Amino acid sequence: MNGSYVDWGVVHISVANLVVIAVMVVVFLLAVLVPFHGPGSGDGDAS
Amino acid sequence: MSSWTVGLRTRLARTVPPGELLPDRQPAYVSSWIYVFGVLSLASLVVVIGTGCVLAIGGVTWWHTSGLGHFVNSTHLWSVELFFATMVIHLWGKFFMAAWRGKRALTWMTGAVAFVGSIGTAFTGYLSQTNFDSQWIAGEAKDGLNSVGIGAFFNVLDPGQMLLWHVTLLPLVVGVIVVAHIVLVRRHGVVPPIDAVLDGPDDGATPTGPIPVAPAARDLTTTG
Repeated sequence: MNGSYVDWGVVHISVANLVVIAVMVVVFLLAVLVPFHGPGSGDGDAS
Repeated sequence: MSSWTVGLRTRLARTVPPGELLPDRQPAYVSSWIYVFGVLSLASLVVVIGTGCVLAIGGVTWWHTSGLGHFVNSTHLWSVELFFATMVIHLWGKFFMAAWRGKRALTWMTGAVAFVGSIGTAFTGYLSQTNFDSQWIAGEAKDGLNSVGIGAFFNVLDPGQMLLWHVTLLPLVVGVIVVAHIVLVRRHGVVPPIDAVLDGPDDGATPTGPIPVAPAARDLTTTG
């Protein structure tokens, strides 16, 4: 089974796994940067 | 003369102060998506355990011959994927928060050990697929594990042993560590931000911390 791989020095990783890691990093950045407007945030919508 | 019941109750009350097990008020800095991902990993774990129990009823080869079995198996797999993804994002967030501050080292360590234990549990799951994939993984894993002596009591070429590790020992260990992690979070509270100006020392002894708490939903609705 042939897949697409990225080779960078000793790093050998499939494109699929690389995409998953990239998506997780993006979600992490969103989790840090996007304001949380929950009921306990104080400035959120309590309704 | 106090009974063991009183002693146990006193011990439990000391471990998690009354009202802190399921608090409805938290410091304002707890309003962060990072904690949502912590809860999401817990929710995923519940689905993992639930689907795992159903798979245990159907048997290890059930998913090869049944559409329902295949669905439950896939739900088991994808809830594990979500479990790891959300747990890692939670872990990244806590790392950059330096969440071990204020005598919370054990909270951090139990989280990290739960992560490592979950990896072992997932690996034994891959070994329990009863297909060529699990056979190939076992063939690849045996030499590495044997070279460090683990193969003497952890034989990846033995599907029966790997299945029992997967459905009994490792989930029990991960479950106990996760419960300990949650109890420690409730006991010591969530770590304040690094640049927070505190009224007193953050010793991890005051569960809600010295920072004024954000109003709960019911307070917002009643006070307008």
